[in-house]
Amino acid sequence: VKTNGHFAISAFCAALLALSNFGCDKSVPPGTLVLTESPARSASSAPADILDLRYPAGSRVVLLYPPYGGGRIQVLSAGLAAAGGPVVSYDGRSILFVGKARSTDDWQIYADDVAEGHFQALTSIPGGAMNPALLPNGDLVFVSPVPKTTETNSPQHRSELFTQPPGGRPQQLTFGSLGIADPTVLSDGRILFVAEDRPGGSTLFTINNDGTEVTAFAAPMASVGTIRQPRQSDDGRVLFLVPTTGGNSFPCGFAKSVRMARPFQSLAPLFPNVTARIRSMQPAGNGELLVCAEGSARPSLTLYRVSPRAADFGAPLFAAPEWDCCEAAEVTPHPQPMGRLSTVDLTKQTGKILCLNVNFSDDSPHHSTPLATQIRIFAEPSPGNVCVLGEVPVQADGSFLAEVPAEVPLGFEALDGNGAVVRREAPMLWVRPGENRACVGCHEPPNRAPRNHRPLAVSVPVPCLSLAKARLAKKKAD
Amino acid sequence: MRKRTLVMLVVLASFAAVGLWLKQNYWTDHLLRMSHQKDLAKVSCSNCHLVRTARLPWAKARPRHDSPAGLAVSPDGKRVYIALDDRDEVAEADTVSLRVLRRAKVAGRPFGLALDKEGKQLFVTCRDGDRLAVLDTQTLQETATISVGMSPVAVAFCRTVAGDRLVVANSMSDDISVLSVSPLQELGRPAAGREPFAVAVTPDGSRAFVANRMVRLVSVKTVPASEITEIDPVKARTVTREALESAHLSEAICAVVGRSWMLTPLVKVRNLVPITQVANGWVMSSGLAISDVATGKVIQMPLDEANDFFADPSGIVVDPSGKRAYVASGGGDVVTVLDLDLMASWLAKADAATRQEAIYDLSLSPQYITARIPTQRNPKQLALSPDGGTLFIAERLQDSILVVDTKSLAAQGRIVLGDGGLNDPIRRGERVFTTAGYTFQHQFSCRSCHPDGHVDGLSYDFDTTGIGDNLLDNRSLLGVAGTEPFKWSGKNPSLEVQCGPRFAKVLMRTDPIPEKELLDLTTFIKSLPPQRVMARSADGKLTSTQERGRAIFFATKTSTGKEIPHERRCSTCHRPPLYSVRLPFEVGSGGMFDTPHLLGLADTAPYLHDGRALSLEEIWTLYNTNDLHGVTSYMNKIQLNDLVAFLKTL
Repeated sequence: VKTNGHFAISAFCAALLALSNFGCDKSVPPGTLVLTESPARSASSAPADILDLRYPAGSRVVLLYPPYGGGRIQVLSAGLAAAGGPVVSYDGRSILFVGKARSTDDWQIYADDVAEGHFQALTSIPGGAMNPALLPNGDLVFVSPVPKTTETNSPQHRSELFTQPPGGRPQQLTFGSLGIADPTVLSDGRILFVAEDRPGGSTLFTINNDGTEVTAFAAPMASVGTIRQPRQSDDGRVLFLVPTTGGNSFPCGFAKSVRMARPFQSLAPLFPNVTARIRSMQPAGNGELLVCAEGSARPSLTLYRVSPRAADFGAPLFAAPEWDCCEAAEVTPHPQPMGRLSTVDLTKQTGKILCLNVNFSDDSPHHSTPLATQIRIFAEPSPGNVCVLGEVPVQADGSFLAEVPAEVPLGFEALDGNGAVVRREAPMLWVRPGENRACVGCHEPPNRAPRNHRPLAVSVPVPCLSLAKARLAKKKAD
Repeated sequence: MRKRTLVMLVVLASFAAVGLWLKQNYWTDHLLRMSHQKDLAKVSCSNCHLVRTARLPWAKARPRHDSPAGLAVSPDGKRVYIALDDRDEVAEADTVSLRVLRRAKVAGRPFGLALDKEGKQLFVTCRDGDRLAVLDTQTLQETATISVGMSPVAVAFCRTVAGDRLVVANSMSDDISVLSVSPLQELGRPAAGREPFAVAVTPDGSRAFVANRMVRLVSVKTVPASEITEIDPVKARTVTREALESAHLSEAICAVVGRSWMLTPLVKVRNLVPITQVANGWVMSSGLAISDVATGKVIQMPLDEANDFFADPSGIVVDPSGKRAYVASGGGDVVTVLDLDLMASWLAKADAATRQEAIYDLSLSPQYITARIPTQRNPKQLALSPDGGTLFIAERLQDSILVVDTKSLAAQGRIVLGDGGLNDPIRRGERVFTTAGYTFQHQFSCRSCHPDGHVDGLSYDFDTTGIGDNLLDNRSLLGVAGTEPFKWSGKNPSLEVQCGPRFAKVLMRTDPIPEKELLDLTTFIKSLPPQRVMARSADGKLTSTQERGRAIFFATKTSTGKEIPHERRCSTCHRPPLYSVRLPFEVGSGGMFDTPHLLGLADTAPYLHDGRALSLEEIWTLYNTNDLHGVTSYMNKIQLNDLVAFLKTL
């Protein structure tokens, strides 16, 4: 009787379980897209920050179900004053986006569980957060604060990159004087981002997921100007947009690319024959791209699915009356980048910098630059507040090694025997605690592997440069 | 009943008391006296006793696989011959139907293949047999054999003015056997570099070039170099010995028709630079050496890209027109296609300084690399049909030959030799060991520093404790089962710890290898037997010199009768059968270091934790002035030679 009773209870439970699962599979059908839609005729209120420009009031994040002609959508950001910038998780089960609950609030990052169909705020950081991206371990990457429209590139309001583990607190990853935007995670696990390192110009940089090894990824594009939305494509390129207009509407532009194999020498237009300006593009399956581009009539922004080598965009994939389709991504699992164990040691307050040969520089072959004999290292602990940390000797082979304070922007000046500056690097690099940072030269040619030699600097005592001592010295000098 | 219980309790209590007494008065004293360790926490009976090599994984039989090694295509292009070293077989396959037609037993681990001009004789180097076998291609039966140097791995046939010659690379005896074909006899055995591994001959047969896998032995802080040895096959003599600076692990070499080039894939190593990062080829990168036979100049060109690497370059072939080369990347699972005209054009435009710097420019290769052909696991040896239209790629750990049409670069099919062995954890582990897929940007694999599980003969500068003078000699993985702990500091208690997160953080700069794959990896490593002994006679008996050395090794007194302190006797720390008690000792080299096992010792130079001793002799002649590393100051040169002779038999 007892056995029969157990069996009956088990069967009942199994039936309940089966019933509870039946019809409850809320995963989206294949081909579902997530879009940012903005009202085609939005009220012209003065935008406070760059996201207000990009996503005017009423902008929303929606799921678009196939077939796209049917226009069946589900609003994910219902209840928010504005939302946009959707990013799909690697398992395709959740969608991150930026949004603001009320028009006066800061922008924050939200996550929507596709199966559950409700969203929650992931960040609540003063100044707001934008440009969400995901690390392979599930940590969120974002930029904060959101630059005000009047303060873009202002050193007083630098945007920095942050990471935040699920349920954890934000941790700052970048500490330079760069204005940072648009991070994306490369397949090798590095974070690629845009750095506005000079007025009207920007550079692509990479860092590891712990903020170490900040490195220029692709050529400073003085002739190109500002760049936006870098994305790695399946065919071994990094694609990005070069906006062509500014002003009160968020700029659209033309697409360009660099090859991962030759990022500093391979800048090329992506769609050379296409005249339509592009608002966004996102790699999709089969090596294609989802492109939101300007059309000739309302709505002004429509969605296309195109090959990166397409001569024209062809017919739109989707267009909705009264809505601009600003951004799109496929709601589907996609390859997870490589992970990486952090080398940061938070018990330390310093890192080390090793340069193999300060006299190895891309300007050396063409100029008779005097050899550097000293390196002056300076820090910029707060914007505009530059102090000299000290000078370290350059060894006979051109190498130097120094222990420097972590998490402050560091600059370098190579000095010749007379103390004259022969080469200068503005304070834009940093080390994380415990990081051992090394470089081949000073302004060396990019993508350069080191020579196999034993730097003399590793065989002499390491000079330790302290911010406290530098401040004291500065105070005395003042 | 109660009485019996009481008696039992008393007996037990007595045993316990005796045990305690022994521990206090004998056992602890024994451990202290015999181990010479201050901290006994890590000392146990098994450090000195209970070790039986027969129980170790490498002593047990393991599954055999149809792993393709050397390839040779018949002059009419209809047949491809495949050495199956793990099976002791050579297979013959049809190049049209892609089916194996027959297999022949060839004892001694057949590895390298070459055909004569007419395709009637197949020459096979037998890596473990120390011989060259000749097979009649009509019958695929062995018709002749001849002893060569130790561990021959490659052979090339050449037709010279003095008759047909064979040039054989003997990888363990570091020499080259030059043979006449008819009669089959050795004409000479000139010295090579370290671990000669591949042979190619010039189109006119006047010269043979041998690529050596390991770097020459040089001081630990000196820039290392491997060697390309030029041989005159008529006179059986060395002509030149060209150095490849900071390059090693060359496993193939190929002549280029129409150009005076020899092409050698290589690993460009940066072992002297502190390993602060791996990005931008900071630890190593792949390259191709172009040796100009006419001028004697060597240029090294990169095979990698700025943000992607193609680890462990192995086989190379050049098409009959001399316009295209193919290089296998064993760790990257691709074959790289190079346009030699584009490469020549770049070289012609570049000035001498730019050419010398070429290998450091990771963005250069797209200027001459035109395609990457994806393969299955571990492409190694390559062969081309005589017309250059079909490329055969030995997918060593897939047990197959990928056949590629060179016009379209599309796969035509596969010659299936075996099932890939995925049910065998050792084979699965070898796949993990040889893939660069776990490393940041696929830069290197475990094998990149441990070819065949052995050593690359280099010391590397790890920055785990900060940037500084942390050069550590690379230790062999052969015969490491049962020799834990690992690392020179002895910090890692198991291979799983050694190869897990530590490896990921210090070297791979990625997430650790997943648990299941890590288990396979360590299973593979534990299955690796010690290096074959170089100095043993055929019957396994020691020579009189070696016997005298053995007596010195186990000596408790000096030759003058003075007692050698227990802690300064060779056999105290290097106790048989592994010749290690697996405990750290101070031997005067600058700290406490784990005691390495001595099996296969002869082939693991350099020695000591930082590789400062280039030979066994140097350990005692240069670095043991205080007798901390065994009492050896009493020895004369004959005694030291005897000791070294014995050590080389282990």
